[in-house]
Amino acid sequence: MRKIFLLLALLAAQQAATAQNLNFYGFLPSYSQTGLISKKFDYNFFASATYSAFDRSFGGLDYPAKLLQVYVQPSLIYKHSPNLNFSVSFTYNYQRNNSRALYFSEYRPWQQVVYSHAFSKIKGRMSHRLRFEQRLIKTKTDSVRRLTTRLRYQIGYMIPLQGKTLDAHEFYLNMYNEFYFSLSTPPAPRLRSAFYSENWTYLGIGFNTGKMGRIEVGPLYQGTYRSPKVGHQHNRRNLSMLQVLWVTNFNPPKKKK
Amino acid sequence: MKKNKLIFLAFLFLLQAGLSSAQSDKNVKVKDVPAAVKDYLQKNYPEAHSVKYYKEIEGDTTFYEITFRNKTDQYNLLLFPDGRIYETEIVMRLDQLPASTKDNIVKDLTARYSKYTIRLVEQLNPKGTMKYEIKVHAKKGKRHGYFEVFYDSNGNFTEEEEEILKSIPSNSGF
Repeated sequence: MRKIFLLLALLAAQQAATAQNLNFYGFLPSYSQTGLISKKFDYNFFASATYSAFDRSFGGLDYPAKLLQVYVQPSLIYKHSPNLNFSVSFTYNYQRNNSRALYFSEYRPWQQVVYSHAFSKIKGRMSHRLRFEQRLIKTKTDSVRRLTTRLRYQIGYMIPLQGKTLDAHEFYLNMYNEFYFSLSTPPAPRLRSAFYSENWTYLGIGFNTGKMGRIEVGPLYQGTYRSPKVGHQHNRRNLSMLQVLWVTNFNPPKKKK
Repeated sequence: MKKNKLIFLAFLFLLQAGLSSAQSDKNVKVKDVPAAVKDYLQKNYPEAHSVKYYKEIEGDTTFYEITFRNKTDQYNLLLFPDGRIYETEIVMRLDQLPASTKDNIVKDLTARYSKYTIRLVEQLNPKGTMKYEIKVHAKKGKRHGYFEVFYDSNGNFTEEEEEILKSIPSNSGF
């Protein structure tokens, strides 16, 4: 466990030390609901809004404190086994960084596999997630949606703090690191990402309320890297946020026969 | 100022709720475990290692749970604070069961499912009645599923339950 904390701390320190470009600070309220469709299928609905908390100015451009992103993600989960799930989604994403920059709207179909396992000597579960995304992006001036693709790998660990398993009215820790790889580059230079295009690091403390689901709070760091080849003024965007996540898992009551 | 007060009150509420949970297991330090509980372990399983203690409250009853390894098997004991045993769970292999019990279980599983893979074998004795729980991934009729099948001490079938899988909790919604 100490090694995991040390690794996360090193990652965070490394991100902070090299951060020299666009730096934003904000908060990220988000909600996730998972429910049962059948013995083999679940659905998930996830939505979030990213707010920049402070007015910023870089290279003569003003970035006012405002809503940066809206993200809506319904998905279908196939429960192959207790340790292996497959999912598909058709996600919607809207982003706008400043009043003079182009906004873009995006449809994002994706497919993913999640594998989870426990350890014999330590509590908690580790998960590995591999996701392939097709991002269909349209800016205000585009007449067509442009396609880019991403491959993402996330390694996560969730650990109950008060017993063997996470029961109602108990606290837990959740942490992950996710690596994004951009597999294609669109023709427009402003959208060009580096091959290793993003890294997200998160450490949150959560509380399982029981019937009302889990509430989780923690810092989330999102680093976005542009390709240096196309001569961007700012090749890196660092977004440090406080995430507040509410996770529910309920199903409609069964009809009495 | 008012907002800060509300956040502080919400935090206190969560903390209080966390400390006063009704039905869950909680980590407990060895020094806080009743001597009778520790004595039971030492007397009956002197070779126990990787020992962990938990306090469990179910309704009005307090139990102490001990998890440990003894030789190659994983044990879970549930005891009253005065050291009386309530339940023993032993994770074992099928070939560790008495031959006739094992034969009866295998015969039943073969008749019940067209294909099956054993995921877990547990010997349980809640309230002193010994039984076996076998978790299988199996093909029943035309479909595959995860089942928990229960047998008595002689390997006679008593109960079958199909597990409804839960999706793996996501570390991030994104």
